[in-house]
Amino acid sequence: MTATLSPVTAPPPPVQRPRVIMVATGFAAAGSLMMFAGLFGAYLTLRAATVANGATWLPKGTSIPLSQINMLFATLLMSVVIVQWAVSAMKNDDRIGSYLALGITLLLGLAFVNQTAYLYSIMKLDVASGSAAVLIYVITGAHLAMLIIALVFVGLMAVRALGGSFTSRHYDGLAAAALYWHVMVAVFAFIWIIIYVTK
Amino acid sequence: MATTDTSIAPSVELHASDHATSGAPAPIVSLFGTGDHKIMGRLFMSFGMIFGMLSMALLAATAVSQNRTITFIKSDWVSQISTLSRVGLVFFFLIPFFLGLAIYIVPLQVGAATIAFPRAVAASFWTWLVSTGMAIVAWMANGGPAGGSAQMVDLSFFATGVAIVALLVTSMCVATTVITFRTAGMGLDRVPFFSWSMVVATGIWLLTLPVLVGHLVLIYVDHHYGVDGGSQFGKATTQWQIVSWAFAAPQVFAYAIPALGITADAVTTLGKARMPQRGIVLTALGAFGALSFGAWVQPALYPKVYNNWTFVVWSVALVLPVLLFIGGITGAMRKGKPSVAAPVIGGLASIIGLLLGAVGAALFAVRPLKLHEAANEYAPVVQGLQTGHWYQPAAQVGVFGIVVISAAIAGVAGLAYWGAKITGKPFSNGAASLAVPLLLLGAVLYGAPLVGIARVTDESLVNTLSLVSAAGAVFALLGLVVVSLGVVGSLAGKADVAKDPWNVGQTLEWDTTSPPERGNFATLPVVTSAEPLLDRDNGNPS
Repeated sequence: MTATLSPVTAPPPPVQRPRVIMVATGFAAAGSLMMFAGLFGAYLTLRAATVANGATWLPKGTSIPLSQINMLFATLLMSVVIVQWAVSAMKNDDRIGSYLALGITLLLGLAFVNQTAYLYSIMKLDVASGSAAVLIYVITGAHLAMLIIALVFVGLMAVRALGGSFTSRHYDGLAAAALYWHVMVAVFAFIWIIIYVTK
Repeated sequence: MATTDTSIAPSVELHASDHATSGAPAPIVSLFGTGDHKIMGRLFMSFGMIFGMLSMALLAATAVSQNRTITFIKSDWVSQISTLSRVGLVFFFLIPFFLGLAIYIVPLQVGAATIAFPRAVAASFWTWLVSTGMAIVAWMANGGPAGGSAQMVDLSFFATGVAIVALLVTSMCVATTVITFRTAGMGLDRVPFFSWSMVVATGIWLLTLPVLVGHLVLIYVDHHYGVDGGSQFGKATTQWQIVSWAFAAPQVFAYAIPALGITADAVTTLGKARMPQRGIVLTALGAFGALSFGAWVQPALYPKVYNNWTFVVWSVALVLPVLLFIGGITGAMRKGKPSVAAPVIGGLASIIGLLLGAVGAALFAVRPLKLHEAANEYAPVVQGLQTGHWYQPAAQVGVFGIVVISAAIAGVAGLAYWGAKITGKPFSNGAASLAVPLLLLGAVLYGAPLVGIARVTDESLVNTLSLVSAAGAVFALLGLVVVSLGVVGSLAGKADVAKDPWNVGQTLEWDTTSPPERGNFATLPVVTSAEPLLDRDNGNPS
């Protein structure tokens, strides 16, 4: 006896959409980069004009130890690798590895905040001492704000990962948080060279 | 639903009407909690229009105050009223209005059930509304650039910055909707002109306005923490100078980009024919957007920027995409025969205004004309010479007025074109038809005298031109009032409208009810061209 199969209409395939949160994060990252581009432009222009007039750019007594700055940068460079590890682990269904990487990323981000606070305390730079101080605090402060946004983004995605929202086939949120994190670190690379190294 | 989520499925959208039957929160609670793109779009447009009328009234007051024979406003208030009018026209009126229109229309045009990140849009709207209110209060309480109250100056810059950030978040949502939510078959080359113009506009806003936010932070920090009102950024004499680039050409054209999209959609649809030079129009729109990128023209940081050849070439080149666009839509008008309806008239009037603005900006950039220099002690001053504050060249303010009012005309055209879709009631074409000439007259009368006033040496002529300019702002204000009354009148109407009240719709928004039901579309035609409804009506597979 042969079984008779009734014709079944297959459900239509889901609409293939580009990764919504990645696109939005790309726009947000572009906007953030432009804000820093504007601030860097102002910083470099005013510094060049000040130096051309024979004056010193940083107020007297300012102390910016490069070792402290390098530690800041190293912390972020480590975090770049770790946050990408989180994405890669999720892509390979290594959930434990992803959780671990996200935790370390958050820890490194908080360590950066702590180190920056310490740097501010030892710089001996009064915000009221002139344009250079205002620009330095605004640029580094804006970067700190960007880092906090990235921390919240990664933290939210970590919670969603813990809640099982992400799989090896669906990890856009995590990838988007990593993208924003990378951009934040790239901004610090410019701060490192423009403000701290070539002061 | 998290703010970072976007549900495509219509069933999870929350609507005010749901609550009435489910015994859930009251309508007012639903209003504050809704993420419905249609409600958010209407809210943005409504409050934008209210703030627009307020800002336009202040613009008229500023223009009158330029006449030295009339003591209309206390001299130390002139700069604050002048700056509030310009900040208001851009960030409290024009951008929110266009974003509101886009929040409502763009998902319909691309065949989406909702906007991307509807909760983020809702959060942005309320943030924008509260911060706009705070900014206006701060300005009125002696804040704003060069204000007398230190706390209110701080608050005005802070609130304006927050309002701009909120608008940027909404811009991100609109751009993401067009990029990612298009229905099957709709490539970027097939998106309707308005949606395309919003991608270009939001892209330029996202690339330029963060620079302005950075400058506002600089001013705030320097003014708040600096000694004696700050160093280079926070001082009363330099505050407006630092942000003035955002209210001058070429940046001011960035706020008018959606005007081109509205015009192209209205002319094409009401011309009852496909746009023959679609590629040219899309290219012109993109080029116009690219050339309106003005974050690099910063006289506060680069005092010689107006003498820079790049600036001259850039400013003159801005005329070309406008001409290209006019050439493109002329083809559509020849092929079809657009009805003499308010959207077409308004769109064309807007483009004429933008062309005048572009020519004005080009004249300002041509150095031998010396429009950026003063031939008399009155002309270059549009604010606060009396208090020694930095001034903005009058020609720039004139171009600003022409461009902003011309963009507002396109806003009126958009309301006339999509008004029935938005309100579900027949829209008063009479009100729009009356508002358009008032606004165009306002744009020309306000801006044209200011463009050339710097070279006038006769004081009485300067005073007369100031009055003409003020009359222009009053005409523009009347235009906004008339169209607002038209909207209110339409809402009071009882007749419902069909899916496509024009009967010639080409794009997807005309394939859903007016206003659209939950989820926007019951079924969607497969898109095989830029005019899917024409394909279907012609019997082509769709």
